Amino acid sequence: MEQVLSSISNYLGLLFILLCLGLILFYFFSDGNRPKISLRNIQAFRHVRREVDLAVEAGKRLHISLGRGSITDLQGGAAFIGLTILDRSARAASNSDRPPMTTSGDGVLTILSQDTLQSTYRSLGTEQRYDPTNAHMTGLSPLAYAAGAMPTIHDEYVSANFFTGHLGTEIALLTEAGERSRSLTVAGSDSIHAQAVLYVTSDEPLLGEELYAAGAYLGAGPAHLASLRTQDILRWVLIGAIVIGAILKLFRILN
Amino acid sequence: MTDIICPLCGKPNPPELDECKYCQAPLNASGFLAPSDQEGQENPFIVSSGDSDQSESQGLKPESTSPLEQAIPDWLKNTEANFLEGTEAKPESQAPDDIAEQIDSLLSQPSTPDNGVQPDIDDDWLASLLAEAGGESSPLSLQEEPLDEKEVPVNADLTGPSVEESNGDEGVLPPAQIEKPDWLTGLEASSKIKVEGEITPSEAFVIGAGVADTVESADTGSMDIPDWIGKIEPEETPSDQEEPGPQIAPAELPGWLEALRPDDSVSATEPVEDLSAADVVTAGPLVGLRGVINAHPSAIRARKPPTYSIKLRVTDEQRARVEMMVALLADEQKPKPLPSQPVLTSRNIFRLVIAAALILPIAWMIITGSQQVPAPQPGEVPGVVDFTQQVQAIPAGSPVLLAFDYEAGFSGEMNLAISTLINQLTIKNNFMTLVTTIPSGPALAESLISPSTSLEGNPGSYSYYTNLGYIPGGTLGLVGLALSPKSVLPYSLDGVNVWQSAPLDTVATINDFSAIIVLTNDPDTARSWVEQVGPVLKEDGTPLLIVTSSQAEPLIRPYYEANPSQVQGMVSSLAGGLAYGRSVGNIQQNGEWDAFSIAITASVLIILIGSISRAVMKLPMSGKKKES
Amino acid sequence: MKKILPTSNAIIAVISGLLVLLGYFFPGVFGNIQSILIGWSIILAAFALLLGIFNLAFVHWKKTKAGGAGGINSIVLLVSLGITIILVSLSGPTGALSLWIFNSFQVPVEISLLAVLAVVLVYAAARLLTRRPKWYTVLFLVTVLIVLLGSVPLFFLGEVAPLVALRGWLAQVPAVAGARGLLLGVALGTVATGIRILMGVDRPYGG
Repeated sequence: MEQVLSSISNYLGLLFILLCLGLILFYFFSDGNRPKISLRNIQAFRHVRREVDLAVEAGKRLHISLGRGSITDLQGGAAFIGLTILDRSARAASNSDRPPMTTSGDGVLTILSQDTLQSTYRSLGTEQRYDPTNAHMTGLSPLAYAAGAMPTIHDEYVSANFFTGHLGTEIALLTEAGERSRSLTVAGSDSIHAQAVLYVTSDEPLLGEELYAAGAYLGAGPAHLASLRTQDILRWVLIGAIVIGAILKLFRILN
Repeated sequence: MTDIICPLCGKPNPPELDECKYCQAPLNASGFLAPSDQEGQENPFIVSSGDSDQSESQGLKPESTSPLEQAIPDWLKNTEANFLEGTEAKPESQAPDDIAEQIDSLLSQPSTPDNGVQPDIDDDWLASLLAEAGGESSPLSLQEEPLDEKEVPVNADLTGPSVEESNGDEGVLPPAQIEKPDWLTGLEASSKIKVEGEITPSEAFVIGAGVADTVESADTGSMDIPDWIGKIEPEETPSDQEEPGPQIAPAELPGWLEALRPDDSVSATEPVEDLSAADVVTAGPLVGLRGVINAHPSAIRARKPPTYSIKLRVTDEQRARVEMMVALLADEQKPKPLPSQPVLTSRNIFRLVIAAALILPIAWMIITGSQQVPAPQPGEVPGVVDFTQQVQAIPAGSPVLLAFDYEAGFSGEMNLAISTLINQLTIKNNFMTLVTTIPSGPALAESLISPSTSLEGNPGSYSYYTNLGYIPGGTLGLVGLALSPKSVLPYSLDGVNVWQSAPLDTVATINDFSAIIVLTNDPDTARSWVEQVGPVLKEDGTPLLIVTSSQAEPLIRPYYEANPSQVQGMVSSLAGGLAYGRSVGNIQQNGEWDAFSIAITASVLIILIGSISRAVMKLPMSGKKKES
Repeated sequence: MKKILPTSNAIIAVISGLLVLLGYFFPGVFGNIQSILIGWSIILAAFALLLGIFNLAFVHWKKTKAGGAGGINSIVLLVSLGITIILVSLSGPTGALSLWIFNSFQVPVEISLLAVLAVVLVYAAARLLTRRPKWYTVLFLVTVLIVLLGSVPLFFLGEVAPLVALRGWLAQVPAVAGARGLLLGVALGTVATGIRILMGVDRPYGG
């Protein structure tokens, strides 16, 4: 048993990835024939949609912060989710008097956010509204990034802040700035500490993997719905594997 | 069945219709029979009793009427009759051109549309008509002479709509070569009486020639001409007709009207008064005239008409309103500035109170250097003892890898443990190799190492270390660092190739270091070190030690407590730093522990009091809401 | 060109991602190409960092020209940036001047911000019950208080042993278990996000 496990342990990760890929492809191509799945109500995303509309009506700005995670690290996944939210928000608020503004703590994220904004405006035929200064880096260290993002919240007539990415405990400073400027804060991070802080300081926290469901809730495409269903299935697979492993360990089948 | 050609639109209509079904023009008065129906008929104007259609459509009387006669309107007939009664026989003379043309038009083909029936068909019946009238028949020529447009409109009322179509056509010509019967010639002559001065001499000559021909041919005609036509005598010449004769008895005018009659003795063109003594106008539009009514000079003063400004007269009020409108429209494009928020609010006051409640006791403790709270012991903090032992087990003078992966903001919490560690390493004269995965790490490491005291006791004299700087790619480069640190970081920040000289010349992989000590506040960074570098270290038993913050301790501790442990020792939080310091004999503290203790106590109190008080205050309000 | 570029970007991204991924599982075959691609990404990330700094400077330059409330702060930032670049270029990243700037400005500012963070967290915790009046908010607050009280001997009460033990148990059992669960979910989400990018469905690089 252990020899089998050791032999496949090298390729366990690859098998897992292939399983994930297969499930996503399956749900991606078969969702058209299935009844529409009903997603549980996540209030944060409902507020995202509402705040986008309110910002356009009130002539205020949306602030989307992508965090400080580098895409070359583990924190890159949360940063990509932030880019998805940026794309959806920019599409909805493209005709606002004050277009959305994005901040980040990494150079690559800054370029990606500029590219996302530009492609969004191009797809809407309003490329002339694109301003590269609407996406900028505010700092390289966590606290420097937070210190640089706070003036954006105060000075740019922000109506709602979306913090989505890799953010640490410094996010409390940003949510505090949002509260001072009487703007709504919807925040999600892949950091455990940040989630604990967000529960206390944010108006609408995204805990756990709710952040990774942003694409599905904001209508980013059928692939996001397919990956959400894949995550649900794989979660149960992991639960089963943990329980089985614990039982095996309990009965000393596994050392 | 014969169709009637509409005189107005020229389209064939069934004979039973009285009006044209296309243009609703009357058909019976001036309708022409379709020429196609006339083919083969020698005398189309003589209707047999058995041909009811023809009789209905043409309305001919079997004894005396003819199609041509039917074409003549009744009023014309009556007028001519009256005229003949009241007039003497006129010698034969040239008929007016217009009447001649009318009659010619009766003889000629009516106007046809562009795609109309070819006029060649009409020639036959007319030819036959003429043949009967004068024994000579000649084909009609459509374009023998162009009709004068001036004359034709005059005759339009007389001849009916049939002539109107011919007015517009340049191709309808009076048949100059056609020999007209005598009755026709007489008719032309009689009709000249009604037209005066409307025929030009040249046309009169032409028409006269044409009429003369017809008159001549009329004598030879063997046609049965009605009596009334024969009584018609040629008219006078046009020149004679210009002089109005006293043929109409003057009317008896009322007296007042007689008084208005101008005196014949006075010429109408002569002035009323004698103007020989009157002044001559020398300026103005009436220059040279005499007897001009004197007017005020300004009334008839010839002057250049005044130029009026075309500028819009706008009052100040209107201008102000316009500017207001322009400003309103301009402001539509600009996003409106939003009202600023008040600075002093209850929330801000509450924040200030909390900040004061936290900062003031801490400052007091630091200032006074209080040591009332008992410091933690090494055994009380998990991982400190193992950490101390691992550090003490490092061979003296051996290279140690130090990873400065914590942010400068956590210096206050972690610097206590790190400074103790560095102190221990300097005492053992270990070669510290400094690396980092964050951009501010090199400066942070340098700022901690450079003031270290060497064995000689001079502060800042310790130089047995090298700062290799930032690992390219951050945690992405840890695998490369583990396998080949020389290739990932070939030079130090000073530009020196440290791998060529002792003691790093013996280091090929990361296992060759005596210990790997990771200083980080981020559990993800610690996890990356453990998972990327740990498997390489496990082979040779090189210890991996971690100094971390209290926030990361719960997530890193499982690695320490695992079996086999992946982290051989850890120091976390301020308590761990103090305990580690005590374990190596450094018991001095500057009130940090007391300040930490009082800060925690104050925080607990603030949270408790704040939560309870707000909950208590909100309960009555929520009750009131429920009641409402 | 507008239609070709997005497709070509997607193809490059997908192929590069696949090669790097396969390099982890088949290092013998794809190890070299993986190292090359990772090296390229590191160089690009460093260049992106420079671009980010230029972008930051340009944004604040624009703010300075526009004037307004934050104009002065932008001027200070630009001046500071210029001085830092000059001094660090002259003395090196670990030179005396660089360390002076680091120790005099960056470290104190970051420590102060962290202190402000502590005040913010305490204030937010004090208002939490009114913001989220739910039963699990009470549970949260109780857990916070237990951890705080068990971390250090209280100033007037001293160490409370049961609280210390309870704090240890809470930190190691429920907290770590919950953290592990959250991390597993985050890992699943990250894998799904990465696969979406490898499939070319999700294109954060525009196009």
